[in-house]
Amino acid sequence: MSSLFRQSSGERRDKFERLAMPLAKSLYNVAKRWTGLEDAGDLVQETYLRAYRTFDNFKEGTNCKAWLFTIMRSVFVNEYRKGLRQPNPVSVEDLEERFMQCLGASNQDHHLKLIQELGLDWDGSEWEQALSRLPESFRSAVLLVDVEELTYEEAAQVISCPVGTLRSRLFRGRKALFLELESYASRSSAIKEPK
Amino acid sequence: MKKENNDRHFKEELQLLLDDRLAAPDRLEVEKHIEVCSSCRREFEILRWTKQVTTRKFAATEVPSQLEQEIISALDREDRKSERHGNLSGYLMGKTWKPLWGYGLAILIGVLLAVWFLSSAPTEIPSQISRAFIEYRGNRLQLDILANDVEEIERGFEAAGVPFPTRVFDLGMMDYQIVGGRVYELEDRPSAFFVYRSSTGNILVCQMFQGQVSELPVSQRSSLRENNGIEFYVYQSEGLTMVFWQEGDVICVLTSDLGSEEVIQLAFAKAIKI
Repeated sequence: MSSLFRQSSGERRDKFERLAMPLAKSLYNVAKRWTGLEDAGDLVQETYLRAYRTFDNFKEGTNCKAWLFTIMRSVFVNEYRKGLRQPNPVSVEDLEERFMQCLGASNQDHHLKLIQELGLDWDGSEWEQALSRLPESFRSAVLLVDVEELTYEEAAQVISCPVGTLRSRLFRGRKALFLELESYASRSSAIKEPK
Repeated sequence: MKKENNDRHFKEELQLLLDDRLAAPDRLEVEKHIEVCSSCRREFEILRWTKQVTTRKFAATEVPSQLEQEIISALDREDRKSERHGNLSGYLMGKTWKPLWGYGLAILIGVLLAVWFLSSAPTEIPSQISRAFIEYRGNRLQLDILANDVEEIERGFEAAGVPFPTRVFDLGMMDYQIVGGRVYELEDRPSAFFVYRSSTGNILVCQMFQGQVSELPVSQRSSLRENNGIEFYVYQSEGLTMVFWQEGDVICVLTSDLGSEEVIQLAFAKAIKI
């Protein structure tokens, strides 16, 4: 019985490593933007441990990445999020108004082109700062869908919200990120009024 | 989806187009519109650019090498633990220990009976309410009615047989969006259990059930507040604040792990005198 146990345990371990370990990069990538660099490693390690313990619940053929993110989200919410300082809440009305103003500006096409050109030259820190200023719910939607390429349904499951809510957080997150970058460009006086 | 003229603009459809989530006819319609509408075209362009560079700029890089090693070591420890457990099970089922199992089983049944007897006393309402919140927060309680619309949730409760009219209030102005609800069985009655989340992820749960606030245990109460002629009974337990009030023959309670004053103010804002 003991050798049988070892054999099935070995197979289980092999399968887990084959499916889950290649995804460590993705988990760490999101973890460091949820908790900050210092705790990201612990969060990922705890996620793997819990995933391994409950690996029998994983349905083969479904998205292992989404499953691991769901576990990581649960660990994050229950053990890490409370101690974190959250960015100032964003009023949805303000966000929409600022975005509409940005769209309506007479020199917007010129402005947009400049931000696009400048943005590509910025190093990672400007982007990281812009992302970190987003409310956590917007940031997570953007990271899970745009960076980790989960479907709306998978991302909604990870952050335990209806798909409609995920969609509107993503919509607002993308707009808010753009506005942060635009504001950074303006602050650094990089954008000159067209002559 | 049909737009009659170019004065009206697409909004979320632009995102659905960007993410390839539109059916072919809708896709054509939106594409045609953005060809002639500079405002929608500009918005689409901003969303497209933001998505593209986000994908590139935040893409995963390497994991610190010691982290991978730490994960492998943690899995090894887990395997060893499971194996020890497996071996121990085999040993305990052996000849030497088998006769003792009968005695053990008898003791266990005795203990279980004692626990059952002690726990059959009715649990106080605040404990039941805090337990429901903790189960939901820990992902052990699923919502059956998923909707962002308060009326839809009220209809859901009615369809689920909740024996009183529910009032699911809109807290959108306070940055709390309704995410869904379910019927939650308290020990002796059903309750309408519905959940809000803020944009920062805070959870606020409201429960409504038939009863009188006089059932609440006075000794555990933290404070009694009054606003607009309504009395609010505040309880605190396990880091949660629960604010109870009476509406007709229904008890309402707001529960959260937010600061207690914030929960109280939300209850003030939404309670109505019946």
